[in-house]
Amino acid sequence: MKRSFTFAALCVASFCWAHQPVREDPALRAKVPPVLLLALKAQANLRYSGERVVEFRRGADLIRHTEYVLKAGDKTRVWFPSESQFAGQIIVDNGRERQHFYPNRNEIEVLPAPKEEAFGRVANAIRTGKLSFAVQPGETIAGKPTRLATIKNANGPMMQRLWIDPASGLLLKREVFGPGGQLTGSFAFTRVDLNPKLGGGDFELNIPGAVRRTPEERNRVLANSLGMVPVTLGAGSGFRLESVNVRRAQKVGILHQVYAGPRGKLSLFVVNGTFDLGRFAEKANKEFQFHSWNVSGRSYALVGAYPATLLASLARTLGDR
Amino acid sequence: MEKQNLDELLKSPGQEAVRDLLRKLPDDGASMQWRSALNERLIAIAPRKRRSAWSSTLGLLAAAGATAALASVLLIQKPSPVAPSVSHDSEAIAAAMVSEHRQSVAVAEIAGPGMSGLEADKSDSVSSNLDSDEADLTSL
Repeated sequence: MKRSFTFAALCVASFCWAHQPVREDPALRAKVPPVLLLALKAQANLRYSGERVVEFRRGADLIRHTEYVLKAGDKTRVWFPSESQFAGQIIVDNGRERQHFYPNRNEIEVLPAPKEEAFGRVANAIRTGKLSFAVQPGETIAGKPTRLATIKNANGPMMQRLWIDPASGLLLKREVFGPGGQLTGSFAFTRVDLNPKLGGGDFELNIPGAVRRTPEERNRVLANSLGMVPVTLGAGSGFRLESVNVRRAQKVGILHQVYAGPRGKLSLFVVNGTFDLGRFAEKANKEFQFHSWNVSGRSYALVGAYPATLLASLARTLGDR
Repeated sequence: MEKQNLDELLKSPGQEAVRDLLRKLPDDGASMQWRSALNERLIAIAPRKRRSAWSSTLGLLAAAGATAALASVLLIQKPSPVAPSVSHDSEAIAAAMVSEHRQSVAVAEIAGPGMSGLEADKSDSVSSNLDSDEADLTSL
C-alpha cells in the first residue's frame, strides 16, 4: 500500500513542472484515476507499431492525415501512406535528436529530441488543482477494449478525453479541446501491434545528399524574407527553438517561433510595425502570460504558461527596456 | 676721334685691367646643368605637395565619417520614444498571437512523435518560401 502510494506520488510529480515539485497533497493524488497514472507511466517504455488517424483544427477546418508509427521506448519512426499529402516524409526520433525528412526539398530538419509534452497542459492544470476526472468504459479501439478518462476544467468545459488500453497503458485515442470546449485536435489508432518486429536501422535516417537544416536556419530565412533582423532566445535561456512559421493577420506578416521549455511551449512573435499589443494582454486569459514590447519599429510578444517576471527578463535579452 | 687713337685707347693698360676684371667676374646666366637640376627638383617637389593636400582632404572626410557613425550609434542605442499605434490592428494581431500560441500547445499534445500541425503547414516544395507558410488568421 505504501509502495503504491509512493508510486502514485511519483506519477503525479511526473505530470508537473520540471523545476517546481508538486506539493504533497493527498486529495490531489486521490483525484487522478489509476488508469491515467498507468498511461503516464507507460509512455516512456511502450513498444508498438500501428496506424493512426490524426486531426488538427486550422481555422474552421479539421485537417486529417494518416500516419504509421513505430515506437520502442524513447525512439520513434513515423511515415505516411503513399496517397497521403505527406507521402515520402519521414520523422525519426532516435532519443537524441528528431529528424524530419522532406523529400522534395531533400532536406532534413533537425532539432534535439523533444521532451514528451503529451500531458503538459494537464500537468499545469493538475498543479493548480483545477481539474476534475471521470473514468468509464470506452468503446473498442483498434481491436482493444478501452477505459475512457475524461478530464474537465473545474469551471466546466471539457479539456481532454483519453481512451486507454488498461492492459498496456497505451493511449489508443485522444481528443483535445480548446478553452471554449471546441475540439482542436485528435488521434485514433486504427491498428496496433504491441509486439512489433524491429529491424536494424528503424530509428536511423540516412538519406544520401539530404541537407540538414536547423530551426535557427529556417528562422534566418523567414526573418530575412520579412525584412527583419533574425533574433532568437539565447542558448542559455533554458528554451529550445523547435519551429518557426509565418502567419498573417490584418495583412501583416507575423513571425512565430515556438520554443520548448521546462513548463511547456513558449511562443515568441515578431511583427513589423509598432503595435500596442500590451493593451490586449488581459485577453490572454489565465492559461498563460502575454508580455509585449516595441523596439526599433517592431513589435514583439512572448506568450506562455510562465511567470510574468520570467517573460519580462527574457524580453530584456531581446532589447526590451 | 681717329680710329688709330681709339685702338690705342682700347689697348691702354687701364682698358686691359678693366677687361681682365670683367672676364674674371662669375657668369650670372643660369647654366643648363643648373636649370636641369632645378627642373628635377621642382618635379620632385610638386607631386609631393599635391599628395599632401589629398591626404588632408581624406583625413578630414574620415574624421567627419567617424563622427557621423558615432552619432548614429549613440542615436540607435538610445531608442527614440515612438508612440505605439493603438488601433483595431493591434487587437487583431494580439488575438491572432494568442490563438496561434494556444494552437501550438494543443498540437504538441496531439502530435506526440508524429507530424505536428505546424510541420504540416510547411511546404515540401523545392521553392518553399514565405507564401507557403502564410495563412491569414483573421480571415479564417
